[in-house]
Amino acid sequence: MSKRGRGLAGRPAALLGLAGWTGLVGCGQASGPYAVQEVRVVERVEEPVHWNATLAERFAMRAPGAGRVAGTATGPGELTWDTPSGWSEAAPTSMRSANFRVGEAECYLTELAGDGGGLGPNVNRWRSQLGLEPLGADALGALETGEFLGAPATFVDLEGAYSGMSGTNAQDGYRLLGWLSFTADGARFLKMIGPAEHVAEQLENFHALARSFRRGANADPHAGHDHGPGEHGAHGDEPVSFGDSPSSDPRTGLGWTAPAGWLRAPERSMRVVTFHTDESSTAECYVTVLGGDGGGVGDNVNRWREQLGAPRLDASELDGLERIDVLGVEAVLVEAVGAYSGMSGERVPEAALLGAVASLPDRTLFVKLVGEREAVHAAGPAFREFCRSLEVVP
Amino acid sequence: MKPADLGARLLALFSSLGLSCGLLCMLGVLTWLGTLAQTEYGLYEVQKKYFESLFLLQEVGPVSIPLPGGGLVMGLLFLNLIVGGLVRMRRSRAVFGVWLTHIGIALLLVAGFVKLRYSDDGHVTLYEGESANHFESYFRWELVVWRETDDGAFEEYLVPDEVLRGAASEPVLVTADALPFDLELSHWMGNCAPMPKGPMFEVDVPVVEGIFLDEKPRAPKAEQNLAGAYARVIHADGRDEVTPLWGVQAQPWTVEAAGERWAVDLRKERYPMPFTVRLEDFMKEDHPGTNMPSWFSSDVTVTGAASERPVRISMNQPLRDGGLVLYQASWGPSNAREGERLFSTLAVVRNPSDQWPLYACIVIALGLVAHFSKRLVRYVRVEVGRT
Repeated sequence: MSKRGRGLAGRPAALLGLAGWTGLVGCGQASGPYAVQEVRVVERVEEPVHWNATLAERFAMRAPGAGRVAGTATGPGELTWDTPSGWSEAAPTSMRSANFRVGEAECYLTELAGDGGGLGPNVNRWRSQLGLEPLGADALGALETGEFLGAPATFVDLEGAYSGMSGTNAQDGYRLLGWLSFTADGARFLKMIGPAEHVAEQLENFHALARSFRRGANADPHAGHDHGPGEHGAHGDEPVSFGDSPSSDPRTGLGWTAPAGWLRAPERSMRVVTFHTDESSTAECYVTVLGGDGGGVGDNVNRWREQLGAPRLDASELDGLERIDVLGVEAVLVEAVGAYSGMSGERVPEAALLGAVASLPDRTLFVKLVGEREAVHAAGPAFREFCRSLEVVP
Repeated sequence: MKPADLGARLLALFSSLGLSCGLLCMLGVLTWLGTLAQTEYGLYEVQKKYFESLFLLQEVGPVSIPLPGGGLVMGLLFLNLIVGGLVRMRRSRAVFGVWLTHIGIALLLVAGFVKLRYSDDGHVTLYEGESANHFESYFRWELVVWRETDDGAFEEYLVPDEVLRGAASEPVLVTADALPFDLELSHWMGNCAPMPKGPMFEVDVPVVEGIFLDEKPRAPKAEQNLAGAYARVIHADGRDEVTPLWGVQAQPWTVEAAGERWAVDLRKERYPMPFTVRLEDFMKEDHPGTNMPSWFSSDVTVTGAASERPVRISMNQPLRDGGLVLYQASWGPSNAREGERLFSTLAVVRNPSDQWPLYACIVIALGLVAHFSKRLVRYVRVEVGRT
């Protein structure tokens, strides 16, 4: 560029140009009220609008009214209920088959296979959450009883300073209502917790909700009915073939296609679905969904690797892991070999693990194939096929 | 200092070759930093921070170093180019090529500016049989307050992305003469999810029907962010209603005011197209034994005001119509099984300076050819004279 030239006098346009440029590039919204400047009249095709939709409906959380969920931890029949007026339903979670909010209080149904720890430990666990002393056997036996989901049940009504499961930051003036039921099928807990005045206002609604729970679409909501132990074919010890079970899970809205030869295993708490890769049951594949980031992709990948004694991966190694398309996102694919120690303490000396972690906008999905090394390696292609088959179903 | 002296100094500064070199080096540094940043952030965020900004803070360990942004550097470069390369350069046939080259570079910068300020880009995603007369931004959000008119059309009042982002720090009052209420926006979140409020924790945003918006860290890829905000309708009689709005909510918030029903929604910015595009058929062919498509294309029908025509849009054959360019971008669901319904995503760009970089490169090439040809001829003449 030439340095020769004339004076700037008479040529302020250049500087004005710079000022204009910087103003145009960096312009922002001035503070204060904003008067709408763009109005359009358009013709468009829209889905029918649900006028006066509740927040739960707008956010595609469970709509109030008659809720339902397919087979859960304590029974394969459809579980249905009538949500009290004014209550909203939140999405079920791995530990909550039904999940409700009303004001500052929440209420949820938890179902566990087995005895879930039994009556005394659970009542006293709840009492400890409210800062109350544990009850002895006599006091436990004197608690109010009734019927929940057609089975004998115990009712508790507690007040105290609530500290939740963390045991910290106790908040005064809380009240807990709960039904606890233990049968051969499993344990069921209906719990409502919130500020005492809110819970008191909803006492009748809580009992009405408890009475409305029933299994099977045609069950009389007020008569109460439960299945006997022999009725739960999908909950026996033996895996059942995939064809006997649905290929979707209404609780999570997930669907899938099981690879040929895979066998559907009995349902387990925390898991969306479990498969054995063959009849020998030496490798299993299961899907888990957790809200939010589920603890983070990196930490979960490394937790899995540590279960096989494999070294942790640093950030750059994590970035270099293979990706696989799951539910439209790039899921991290992790492999590890070693001696497997599962969360339940089971050990497999010559084990392998193949897992996928998919970070979705509102939740994190985990698909894990683990078992004897040869079986896992043989099932690798089918595992990838299964991951890719996962889909969100209506 | 006299004004004339100041003017002369400024002119010397803005026309200096040193400034040119410094700015070009700074552009190189920004390009390098922006490239590195893309290992952690998506293209959109990087462009915003490094190339469309006036200033930026570069984190180097615990230290933040202020740097000029690409917008400022390119603005100064343009000024430097005009003042030094075009205004002050002596005009003679000897430097015609250089002068032409400078014009080409200036045109290139102007093309970038026009693209920055006046272009829209987004996508149309359609299943077979669906049609659309608008396209949506990948990144930008808008709040729309709409009602259905008596003749079945929709009257939309739009609040743009910049205004919504302003509600992150303080509430923004939105007004319009035709609206029977005022609307206050607050708690803007670039990425969030609705969560049920449990009794064991407190939140610092409103809880409505037991639900609140939980702010999340920004996703590395901006298009994955799901924005949200709280809206408060203030009726003429002073009543008010508050609700959270979420970018992917299934239903709009509906409000009744002055005997009319209004809907309030948060969505990706929409841009009208001067025609309707209907996806008739989507086709793809995979590489043998894989799910990787070797090619895919969309057969669409384009319906304008007075005409209707079939068009095939494939990866290298975009549709150009009405100032828009529609490219075949992607398809899905990626895990669809044989026979399942597929959707096609067409990337849409409205860029008034679409072809300007091409013209700029031609001008630059002509300038360089003219200049170096002249030098070559002179050299040859000198050499011939020596012999």
